[in-house]
Amino acid sequence: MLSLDLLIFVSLIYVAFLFGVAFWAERASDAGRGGWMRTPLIYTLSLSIYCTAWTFYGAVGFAARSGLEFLTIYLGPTVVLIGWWLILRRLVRIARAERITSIADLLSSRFGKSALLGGLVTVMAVVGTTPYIALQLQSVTTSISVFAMGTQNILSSTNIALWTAAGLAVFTIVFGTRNLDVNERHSGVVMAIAVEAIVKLLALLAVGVFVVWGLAGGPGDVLARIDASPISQWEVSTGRWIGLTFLSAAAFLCLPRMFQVMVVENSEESHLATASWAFPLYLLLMSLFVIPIAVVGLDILPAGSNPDLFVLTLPLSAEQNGLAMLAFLGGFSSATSMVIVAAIALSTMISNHIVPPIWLRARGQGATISGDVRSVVLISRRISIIGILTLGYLYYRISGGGAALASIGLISFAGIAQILPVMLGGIFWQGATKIGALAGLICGLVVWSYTMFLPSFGPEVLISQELIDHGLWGMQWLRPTALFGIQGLDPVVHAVLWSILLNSFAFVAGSILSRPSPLERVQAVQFISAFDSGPSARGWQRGATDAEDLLSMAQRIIGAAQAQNLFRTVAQRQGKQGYLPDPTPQFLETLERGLAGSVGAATAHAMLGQMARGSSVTVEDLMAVADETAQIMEYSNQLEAKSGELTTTARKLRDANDKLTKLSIQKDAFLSQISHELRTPMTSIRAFSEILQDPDLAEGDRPKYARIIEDETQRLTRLLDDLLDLSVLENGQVSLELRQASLRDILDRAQASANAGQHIKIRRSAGLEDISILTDPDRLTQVFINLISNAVKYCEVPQPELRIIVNETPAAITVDFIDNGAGVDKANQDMIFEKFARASDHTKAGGAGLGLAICREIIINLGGQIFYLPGQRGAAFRISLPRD
Amino acid sequence: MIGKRDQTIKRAANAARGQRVTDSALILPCVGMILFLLPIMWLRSSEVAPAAGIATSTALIYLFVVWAILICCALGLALLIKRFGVGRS
Repeated sequence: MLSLDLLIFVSLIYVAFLFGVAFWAERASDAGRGGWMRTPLIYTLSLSIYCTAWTFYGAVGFAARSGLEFLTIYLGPTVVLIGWWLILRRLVRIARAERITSIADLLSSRFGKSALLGGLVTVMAVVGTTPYIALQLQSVTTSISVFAMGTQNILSSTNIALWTAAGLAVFTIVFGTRNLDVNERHSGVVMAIAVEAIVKLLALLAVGVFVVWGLAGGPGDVLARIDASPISQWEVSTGRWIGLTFLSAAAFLCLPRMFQVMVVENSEESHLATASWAFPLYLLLMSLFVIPIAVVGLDILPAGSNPDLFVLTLPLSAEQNGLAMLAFLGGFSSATSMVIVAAIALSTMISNHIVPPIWLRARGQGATISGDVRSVVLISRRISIIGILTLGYLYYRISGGGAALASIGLISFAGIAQILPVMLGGIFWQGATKIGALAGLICGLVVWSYTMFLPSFGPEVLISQELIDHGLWGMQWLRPTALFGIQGLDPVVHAVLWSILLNSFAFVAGSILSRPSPLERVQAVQFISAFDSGPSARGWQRGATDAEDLLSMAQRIIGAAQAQNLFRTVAQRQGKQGYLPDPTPQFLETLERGLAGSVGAATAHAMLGQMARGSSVTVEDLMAVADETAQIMEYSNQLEAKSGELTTTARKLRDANDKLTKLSIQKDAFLSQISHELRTPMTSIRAFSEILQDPDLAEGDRPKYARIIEDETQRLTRLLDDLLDLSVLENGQVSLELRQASLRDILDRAQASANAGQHIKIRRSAGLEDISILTDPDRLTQVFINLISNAVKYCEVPQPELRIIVNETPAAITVDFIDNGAGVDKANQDMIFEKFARASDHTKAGGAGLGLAICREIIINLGGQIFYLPGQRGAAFRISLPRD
Repeated sequence: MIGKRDQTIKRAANAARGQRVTDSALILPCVGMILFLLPIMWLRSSEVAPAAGIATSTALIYLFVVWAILICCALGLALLIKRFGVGRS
């Protein structure tokens, strides 16, 4: 028989070896030589924490009691893993994108970063895991007690359990809470677990090989022994086969420790592809020899031996002490690795979902985060680890370690499986809401507790026999073992069926009946569309957040160096020097994810929410986003309007330019015209002056020539007078002598001055002319004279006639001068008011062509208008004068 | 131009193959589940004459063979998925 002292000694050496491996792995990882630790092989081996002491010892016991039914515990995970493409890949992708730290974080994050949901899942995980930890402690003490049989030793079983729990707590605290960012991954722990995975596989294979080829006579003999054994026939009930397979698959996905190694510690998605075949292979090897060991144990060990311990007792009975020692270490590995990872996963959940909400609330509103949050989180994590192991130890003490291993494991599985509907709904169904999730989880938890957890302690411990027999408040249909009066089901199947069914129903109904918050909607889209890469929905908007405050907070949570690194990288990306980037929405989102890696999504969101108060997504924010769109549209409209304005201005400029060009041409024309007009009389004056100087000139001609010179001089003077007059009028420098005058008087004077009576017949409408107007009578007379003279000059008909018609409208007084001549060509109508413009022969007119130009200027100065009136069968001019 | 067209055809063929691989990856767990659940249709010895029931040894061999086949299929699929780079963005 192996001495207990040697066993303890070897165990301690093994534990020291594990510490050494973990230390070395941490060191290598710190030095950047940890690349090979992130290989698919290590990943697959770390998944083996699924195989706990329950698997190692309990599977054989399970098989000895119920035959092949034990396989369901492995078949479920096998199906999940070969179906990795559907669920696991999505989980890993989401966890990577959202920096998920635990399964509680996953649900909390999915349902609007709800602290309540995170807390509830954490509580469920703790309740579901505690019996499991107790189970591991029990297996260690039971296995040691096998060796202690017959010897007197100071170590009692409770002592062993206590020391084991304490040792595990130390290991977990040292390697599990060394750093805060879960995404840095626990290389030491993972490495130690990988080593333990190999040890337990080798141990079980070694025992199996020994049993098949050492104790029995090879595979053929074993098959014969199976046929001869009490479990020779296929006795598995349909309900249990389906129920347990489903339960193990669900637990595999939802167990906090499995989520930790499978999703959180996953460094590359492609590792899943390898694990999809390698881990089922591992499970196959682990279960390959279970039936042979059970059958041979039942065959050769004395009746009444505990089948849970066949793995140890078979080698011991054959005096194979070395093999027994290896088997013990295998079982020890199974137990410790499970406890370590479970404690890490649970402590992360507690420190992220239970402590911070309480802590933040205790500090009150508006508390700026002071002190080192890192230390708070780390301390809370360490205390959680101690607390979890204490709970496990207490459960072990209270339950007395009596129940068969398998049944405790199944209770745990069923409790954890309550998370499954909500988790699957969360990653596949966009309509799932927080209310639905809470309803489902609470419903599942209550039904599971009532039908499975509470009765598991036995009658009269937590619930009375009366209740078990007659149901709650004496209602038969509420009996914990026969809900709704359905009897005859296996207790486990009964509990799983009802808890999962009611859970799913409450989840779906709650989701359909409730409405998600804006943040929930945003997160739902993020989760459902995990495989559509693209910009994430905006979670933060540029607020009044100060980058310096953010930095000081981030330093306390993720560490100074890492925080500074992050900030500087972002600042550089924004093109800024130094450590303080602009608090853009993108930056806040990055930061939130960084913080979420340390303290969980809900806490990170709450912390940033406190810093950037009111910046979290609310309906107002969404409206602001809409506003922004509206602003952009408005801006674009403004641009369009401005562009239109520019076009108009450009057109105006072009018009102005055209006008200037025209004016310039006009000016040139005017200059050449005036030169010509001046030159003609000057030429005749010079010519006749020369003639006058001729001594041979006949005396009679001299006065004639002198008169010509005088006429020409007068013409010149008149021209110059007109020009001067025009210039004064055009410049608006004319001084008008406005007074009331009778239009009739003015017309009379003009008619008289023009001396037109003998050349043209003038017809006037006397009745209408009695109008008194405020004007400059002399100037107006000048205009009228000019128009009458024009009619005299140009009206070339046998009986010329000029009609002068006065009209009065409310706004103006019009005076029309209409003759019965040929009128003005249409082509010349526009030109006649221009200087030097003459519609007909130059010489005949006898003027310089400035008359109408002067008229126009005078009328304009008087505030009126003069224009040519077409269509009157003769030349027609209309003068329109404003009324007073 | 021809080279470009060849490339396009090759890419289309690869995409089609990748689609077949991912479809298989979705179907494999269903096949596994059905094969693992087939035993519920086996007769139990208690219901009929003991000799008519399925022996544990037979069931054991059936389950382990199915398991091994599934593992091989998963291995093949994992290799194909890596080769075609499916699912990588």
